[in-house]
Amino acid sequence: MFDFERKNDEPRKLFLDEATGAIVKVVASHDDDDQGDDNQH
Amino acid sequence: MKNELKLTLFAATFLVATAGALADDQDPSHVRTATPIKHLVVIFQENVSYDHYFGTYPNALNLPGETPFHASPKTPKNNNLIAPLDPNNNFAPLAGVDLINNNPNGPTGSGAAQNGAGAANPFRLSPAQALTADQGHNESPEESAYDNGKMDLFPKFVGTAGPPPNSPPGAVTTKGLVMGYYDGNTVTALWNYAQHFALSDNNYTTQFGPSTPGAINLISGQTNGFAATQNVFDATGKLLHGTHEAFGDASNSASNVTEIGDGDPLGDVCSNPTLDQVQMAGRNIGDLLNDRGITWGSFMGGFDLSVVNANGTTGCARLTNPTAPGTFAFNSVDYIPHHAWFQYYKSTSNSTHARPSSVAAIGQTNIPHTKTPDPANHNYDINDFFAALKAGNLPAVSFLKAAAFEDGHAGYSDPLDEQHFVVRVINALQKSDAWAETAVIVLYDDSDGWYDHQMPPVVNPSFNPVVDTLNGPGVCNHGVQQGRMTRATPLNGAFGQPAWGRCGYGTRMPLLVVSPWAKKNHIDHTLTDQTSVLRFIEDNWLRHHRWHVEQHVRLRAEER
Repeated sequence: MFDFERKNDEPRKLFLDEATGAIVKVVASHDDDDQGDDNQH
Repeated sequence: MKNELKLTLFAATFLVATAGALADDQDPSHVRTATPIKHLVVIFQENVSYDHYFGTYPNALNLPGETPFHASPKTPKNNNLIAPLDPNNNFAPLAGVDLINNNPNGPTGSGAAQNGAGAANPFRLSPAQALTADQGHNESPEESAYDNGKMDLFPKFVGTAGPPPNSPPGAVTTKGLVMGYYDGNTVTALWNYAQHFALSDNNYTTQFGPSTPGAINLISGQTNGFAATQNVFDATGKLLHGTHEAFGDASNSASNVTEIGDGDPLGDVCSNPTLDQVQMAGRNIGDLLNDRGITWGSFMGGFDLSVVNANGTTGCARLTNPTAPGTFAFNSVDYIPHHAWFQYYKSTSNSTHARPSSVAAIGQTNIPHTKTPDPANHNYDINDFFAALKAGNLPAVSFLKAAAFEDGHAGYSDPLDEQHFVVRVINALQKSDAWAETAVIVLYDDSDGWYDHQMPPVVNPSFNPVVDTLNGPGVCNHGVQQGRMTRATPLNGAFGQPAWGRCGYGTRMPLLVVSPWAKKNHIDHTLTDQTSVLRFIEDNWLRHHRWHVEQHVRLRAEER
């Protein structure tokens, strides 16, 4: 669930619309890429 | 998988927890923790199975007029209706299984004859059908629906017909409604959080049954053993409410009784005086946090009885109407006593709902800078959570329960009103300075009875002849799943003897971790249950202290 090796210089944020749940604003972390983390069993 | 467990949410044992909390400085940012997490916010919602909310994740139908959802093409596989995986075989895809069109609960399935007119394959509920009838979720019928692992008798044992919602499909007007699921056009927020943070597809209730066992398991892991009761036994010692309490052994001893249903907390001014009320024996995680001087709080909708709602309701009768369109079965009062986890323990209760001495006192045992106990004793209204957050006084550990209309429980709440609450909390946290050190866990108290296709691993057997039906009359003892053999003897209750009534794990539910430290767009298969939250708190703040661990269901996970 967690990745505590992150630097998290810019904490990831995801602001949503309360009524619809739609994305309002994304603040990506410097650690994030666009691929998603690998699924792990 | 074993190594992964240690690296993920619930077992930070690879990290060295050094000094404990500083008794003279309760600022959570200054307290030594085993991980970078200084604030944990547990959002404990109501009555959802995994497949009810994530049965087709990440594929949404995206019909015109609905809130669209589009997933990353890199979204990992998860164990659901459209792509079932095998937890007993390293989550490999299950070949030849079509749960959507040839479900065991459907007209061609193994349960068809017994399900009768309610036999139905899973079907999509639209956003316009957010309002539904409540399904059955008492312990015994839930076990019966699982039918010795065939998972094929949900309509018969826990199905409740609508309307609401109105058809199509026709199944909604039968007990087949229990097979309904939502997709990302309704539970859009939760699917978006899953895309950007982490989602578990192998998380279960600690035991079968409704809200109260879930709430108690979340904070103590022990639903057996009462310190005091009211209206639980008749004059001859028999149980008055067989769906709420169950004897823990064949001798029907009053000292070995398990809470399997929704008895009210003893002494709460809002508890129903005519129904059963119980006070649990033993301790809970609040006691342990107090021992170390760690700040914590329970924040519940409707807890402040002095508030007057816009509709004029107040006290224990405070009530807020849901906003989703339609006519609900009933509109619940905001505060539901049988959800009030810490009220079941004398040491952590606030039976009169006394208000905290100040916003600065929220999370504290004593009034700041004094040795006088704060009147609230760590129990607050949900409004106090936002006030504390705004004041920069977010406790280290916060347990949140929405007002009833936003808790997601079918019958009086719904996924759209639930979404309002969850998003409001997480948006507020992300705007705060605490966010960089915060983790939010969203999980549920029970499944409501909604269909889920995954048989749980039974880690704690039970042989109560009145309640248990999982593998036959009086038997909850399923054998081997996910590499574990069910123990021969039930785990001990609060007074040290094996205790029936905790058949589990129970139903599978979503669990999301929303945090800057969460993996991104991650599906986690680590086996967890409601008490796994306890373990994380113990690992992060309490130097892995395990209290009465021999009594906990989670013992099985630790034995690996």
